[in-house]
Amino acid sequence: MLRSCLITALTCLLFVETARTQDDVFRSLSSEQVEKLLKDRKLDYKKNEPDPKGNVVFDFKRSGFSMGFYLFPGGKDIMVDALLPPIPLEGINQWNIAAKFTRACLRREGPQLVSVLESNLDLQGGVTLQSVERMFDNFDREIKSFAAFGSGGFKDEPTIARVPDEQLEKMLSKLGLKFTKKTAKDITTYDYEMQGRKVKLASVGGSELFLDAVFSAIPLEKANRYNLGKKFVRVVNLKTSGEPFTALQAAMDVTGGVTESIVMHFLGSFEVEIDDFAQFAAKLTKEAPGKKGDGVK
Amino acid sequence: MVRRNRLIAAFIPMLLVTLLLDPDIGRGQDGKEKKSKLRPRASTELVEGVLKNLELAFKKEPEKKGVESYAFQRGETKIRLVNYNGEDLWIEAVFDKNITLIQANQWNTEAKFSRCVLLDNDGKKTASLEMQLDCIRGVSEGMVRQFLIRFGGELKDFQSFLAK
Repeated sequence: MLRSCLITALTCLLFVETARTQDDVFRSLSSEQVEKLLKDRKLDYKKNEPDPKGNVVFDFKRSGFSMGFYLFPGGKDIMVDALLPPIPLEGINQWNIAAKFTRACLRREGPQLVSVLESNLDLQGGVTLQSVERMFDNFDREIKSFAAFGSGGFKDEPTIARVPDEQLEKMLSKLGLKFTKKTAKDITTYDYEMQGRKVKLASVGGSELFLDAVFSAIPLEKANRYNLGKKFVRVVNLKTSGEPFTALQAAMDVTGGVTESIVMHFLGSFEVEIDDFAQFAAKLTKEAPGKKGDGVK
Repeated sequence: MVRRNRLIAAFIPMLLVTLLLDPDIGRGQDGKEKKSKLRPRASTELVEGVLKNLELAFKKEPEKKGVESYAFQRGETKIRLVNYNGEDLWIEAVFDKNITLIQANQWNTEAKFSRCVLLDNDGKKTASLEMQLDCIRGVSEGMVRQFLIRFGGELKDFQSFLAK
């Protein structure tokens, strides 16, 4: 009799304990608690060794996105992030103005430039397990919205094999770019500024588009190194008249059939590339001030 | 001369393929809309379909984390096409030739769509001619086809450039 009462009492205690953990307020999380949380959400994660600062990162995939859960030293705050294709800085800013629970930024991951969506939670004021669960749920919703926002929402638009000048000019205006236009034979050029850099867009009969941004000359070896790690652009050293310079270039072949969204993306994402190359060039200046470009004809 | 003839022979099939393209390509010069199905991503079916239509006999390498690679040849040149999760395509041909940075830069200033990069793998120096196609905003069969054909054209020019 006494034994059965004891078992009942213990069972009740266990039940209360379990119920309490759901609503319990805690001010930090341990690595084990994070693992349980991820397991409960059926996430196949990989726990990394703590970095020199003591941050522990759990990598996992969810809905096709590469994600990370960060447990900062002492377990007093946490972060979840996801890597997505890069979008123009203007888009990043627009997202940050409108988003409720996340922020976006552009970052380099090895050779790739990526958009990163992040959400942080400070535990020190006291949170429940449900608060962390809600952080995950909100992040899931926002990551899907961000992916749709970043891709502009895939639209099955009609394709065109030539972009007439008028259409191109409307696109430039939509991107808020003030240009000056010049026409010579079948080539139309548009000069404008992006990120404070001079950019030239050349349209060859509307079937080929070329973008050029001008930078101070860098050594050819560094230009080759940059080209090795990049997609969709190249840097070349040039000299027309006066000082040699380095040009960041991108090209689009329209003749296979493209859409307005694809051309807009080509024009808009060049801003991200300019920013990326500007950072690369700035690092070179710090490493070897005064070293100029070479190999220019 | 022999080399030149071999080069010409190697590219005759490609020229034929170019002439046998989808009749839609070449239309739309007036800027009018073309009927070409846009897909959200470069799917395996789309890419392999275009390779087959162009009669490029490819070998598919084992997929790694959504990255699919195809190897095929044009004449004696080995070409590799990589599909990164349908988000972008990368095509390259690597040459066992030790060209200079100045030559690579010269190519990059003259070529329209490709770039030449120099690689150094443990002292073995090679040159890679490469091109990428961004598919993040959608891609059509015509775009992939044109991408491959353009690369074929620039590859031919690059071989002439190397032979100089």
